[in-house]
Amino acid sequence: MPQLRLRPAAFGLLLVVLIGIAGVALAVGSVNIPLEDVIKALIGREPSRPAYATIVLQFRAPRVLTGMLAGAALAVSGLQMQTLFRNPLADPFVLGISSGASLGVALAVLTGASSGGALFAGANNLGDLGMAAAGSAGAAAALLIVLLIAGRISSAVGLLVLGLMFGYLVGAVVSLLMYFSAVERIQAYLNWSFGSFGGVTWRQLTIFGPAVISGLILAGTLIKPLNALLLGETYARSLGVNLPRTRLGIVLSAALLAGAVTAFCGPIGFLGIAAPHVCRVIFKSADHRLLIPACALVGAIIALCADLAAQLPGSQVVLPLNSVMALVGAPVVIWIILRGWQTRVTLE
Amino acid sequence: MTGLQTLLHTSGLMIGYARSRQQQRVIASGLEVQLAAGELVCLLGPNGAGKSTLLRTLSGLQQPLQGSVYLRGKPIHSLKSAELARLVSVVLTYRVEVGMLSVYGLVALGRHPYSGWMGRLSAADDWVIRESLAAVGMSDFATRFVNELSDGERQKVMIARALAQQPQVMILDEPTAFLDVPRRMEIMHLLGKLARESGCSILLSTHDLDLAMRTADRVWLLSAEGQLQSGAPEDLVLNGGFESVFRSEGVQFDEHSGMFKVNGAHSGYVTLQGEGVPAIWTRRALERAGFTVTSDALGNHPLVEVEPIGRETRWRFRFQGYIEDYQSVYDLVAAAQRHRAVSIPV
Repeated sequence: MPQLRLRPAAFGLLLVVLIGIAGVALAVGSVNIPLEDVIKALIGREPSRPAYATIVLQFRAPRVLTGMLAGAALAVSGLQMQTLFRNPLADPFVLGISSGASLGVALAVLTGASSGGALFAGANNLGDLGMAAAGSAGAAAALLIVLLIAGRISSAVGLLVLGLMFGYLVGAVVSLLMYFSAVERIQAYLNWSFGSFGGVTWRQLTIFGPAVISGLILAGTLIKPLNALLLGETYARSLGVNLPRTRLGIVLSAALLAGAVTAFCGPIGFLGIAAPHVCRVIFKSADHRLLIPACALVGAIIALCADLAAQLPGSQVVLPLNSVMALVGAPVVIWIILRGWQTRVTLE
Repeated sequence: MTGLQTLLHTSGLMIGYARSRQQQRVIASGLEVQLAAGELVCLLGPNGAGKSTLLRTLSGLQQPLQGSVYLRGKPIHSLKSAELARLVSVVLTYRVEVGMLSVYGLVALGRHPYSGWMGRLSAADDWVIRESLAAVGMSDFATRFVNELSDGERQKVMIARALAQQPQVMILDEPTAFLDVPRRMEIMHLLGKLARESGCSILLSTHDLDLAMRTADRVWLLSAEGQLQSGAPEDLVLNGGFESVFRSEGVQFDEHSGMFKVNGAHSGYVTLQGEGVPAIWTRRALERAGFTVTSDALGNHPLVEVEPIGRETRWRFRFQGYIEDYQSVYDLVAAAQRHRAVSIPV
């Protein structure tokens, strides 16, 4: 009977799929490496060609790890936003959190006020920190503004319009900054805005990894109030949820997750909105005890698939990750809307 | 109510909204009300009187402007939020829209104030959830999704969720709105039964005066001016409470029927003779058309005889030597109106 079923089979399957795709992602690229050489490189044995070890360990492993972390982060923060705003179309991007992160990064990159070029050299730990800090600060500021105004607007549609306007506002500011910036800085910002898991080094991962993992752990501690929030804020309060503290927790967690991803990998849309819906469909549940771990797994899988597709295996061309993600994500969102109308999941 | 334990009471309660430090909108003040164990109380009042505000204040969702709400003798603001959630549960007016949420999952959320930090349900929690579903007659719906339910089923599930909180006081804001008449009666009788069997007090607001008068142990009548009268429904009929609170242009509370009447133009007098159900409904139809119906033949008024013929009914209309038989209430009323029109100039 309907007590929470932990669905070990479904989780096991997702884990196997994730490991499988990670394996493929390590093996496939501009140079295809046999799977046994990949495994040899990973466990520290000598692969058939010495260059394979460098490719796998120095280039592909951090990229795969970044993709998994980023996918998990975006999916979980998207889930949190959809529950907090009780809106199936909410994600950090829609609500302006990623726009805030973009603004933070744009200000840092285009004005180049502080550490300037060091930000993009990628060799300087302080520079990484500065970029992550700029992105996260922008993201946190954006979400705080949205929440502050959310207290006054009760309709979710109003909030979405708000997020949209915020996006335009940020877009305008970024355009202005670009108008007055040097070409190489604009190029640097544009490259960042295409999104990529490839630019993150092992050293950067020592900041990105803990940021994402602490965001995920924070999300995990919010599972119970998130479940109560399914009924809306008033019901949640009547169930004994401390609303200001819960809101703050969700803000911190989502801003940390979305902000870190945006700062290190660029503004990656669609994953945050699509993954939670995919999980609800797979698990046929709204329970966050299932959905949070499921979103982390499904988000990681989608991110790796998109990254794999963006690299066009066997060719030297690499497509912008964001374009590939939207090419996959947009049809999913369209499908959700059409399906939502049929099942009376209204968007109000 | 003597002999019954008081679960909730208020003292010097002033409700309303504080717009700023200086400015506040007071809806009602000096409220002294009690809720006793096992009773069903209906809060009635015209639109905009502040029923929802009162309910929100009593359930601790809104701060009072002055005074206090006491739960089992303890001021509500001194309780921790989880403690409060174990004493009071609510059913709100807004419709809960969640995809992929099962009925069992929804009711299980009522165990929130009792479960641990992850919300893991114990066997005892599971038992309470099943009992709550059984109490509202929705056990067979446990695995269904909430979005697939009809409005009536959904409302019963929301009540089960409130019940799973094992509250001392359950507060419902217009639980019968959007429901058809049989579903309203079902919900009201269910709530009355739950109050008696579980021993909690149930307070609900409604616009359904007739149903409230038939099911409530007590009525709180909130006027547009913020005055609250409390008593058995019959008390409020006898002391003119309903009459004064709902008085408005063209609408009158009829103490005999316990219902509201729309005052139209007076059409004249009709004498009605006959018995049983057909006579009752004939009287209603004539009153609706503006006639004053008497049972004694007085003066020179039209006379209507309701006679059963087999399983049918025949209406005979007599007026100033004119006699006609009709097969339906509709035709009879039309005839009465026709002859009134003729008789007025005379």
